[in-house]
Amino acid sequence: MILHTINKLSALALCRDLISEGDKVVLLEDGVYLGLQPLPFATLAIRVDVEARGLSGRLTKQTESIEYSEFVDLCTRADKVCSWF
Amino acid sequence: MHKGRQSLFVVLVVTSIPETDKEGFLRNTADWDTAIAEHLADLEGIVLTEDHWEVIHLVRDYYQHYRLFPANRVLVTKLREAFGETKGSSIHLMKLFTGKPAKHIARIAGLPKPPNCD
Amino acid sequence: MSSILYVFSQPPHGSINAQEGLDALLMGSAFTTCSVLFVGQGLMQLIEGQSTDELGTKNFSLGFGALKDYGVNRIACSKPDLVASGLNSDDFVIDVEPLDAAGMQLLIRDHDKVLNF
Repeated sequence: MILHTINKLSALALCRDLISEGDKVVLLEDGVYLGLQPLPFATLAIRVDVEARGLSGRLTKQTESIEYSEFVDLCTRADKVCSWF
Repeated sequence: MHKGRQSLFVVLVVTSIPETDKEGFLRNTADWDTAIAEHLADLEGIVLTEDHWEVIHLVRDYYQHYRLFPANRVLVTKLREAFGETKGSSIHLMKLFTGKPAKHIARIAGLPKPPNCD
Repeated sequence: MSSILYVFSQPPHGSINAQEGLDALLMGSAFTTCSVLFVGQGLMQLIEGQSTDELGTKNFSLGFGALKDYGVNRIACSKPDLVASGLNSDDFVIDVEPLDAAGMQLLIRDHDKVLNF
């Protein structure tokens, strides 16, 4: 499994071509704002970053909030991690 | 009134050594010339021979092209291509420039300290 | 030994990222098979004729010319980003292989680790 992390809106342009079927995408820091818009892939968003920005209940259906511990678990299970910033 | 031709030769031996950092690397690569190289080599206790100059010029050329001090394996390959099998070896470099070739070569060639040197 | 794909996505002189990326790539190539992919503004690192003397920084773009000496395997860039940039491969200090989305995804899959700079 390939894990992508996106930490700001502008980084989406860098990676949207590079995310393929079956990859996991985590939105963190200012990247969680991407959870407001329709994207061509499902995403996971760090809950504390979502709440800090007042986005709880405002995210699209394809965005699921996760805890740090789940993020850590994903990182350890991923074959490779691509961090887009 | 000329009493004959008078010649006055003023020989100035200017031995100004350009500025170096506290580890003895030239601050400005452009300050370098062969006399300075000999002086810097002398400080390391190395007398420069033709074999040394081959390495020094090659490394300076490489730096001019790529702004990089070549990694040891790259330097060895380039030396082998240019001067043949016996010159293209780590042992050859160790003999010429003692224990830490990269550091000594860079210092004498007037180049910045290579990455990965202590 | 696992293979590493370096992905460069930042422009050259606004931050230290790009320079650090090249240093890491040269270092990594001593240990294992490495390739590099330029995406987004990372493509700007490759523009020929950068002149940084007056800025007082190092013109590390010249160092890309040494990637072959260092045994770097594939040197690729995003074709969509290249088209969008208004540049073409003649503008670059070295030859790069433009890849479409599928090609880039495959490149990522073909390497064991990915490092982003």
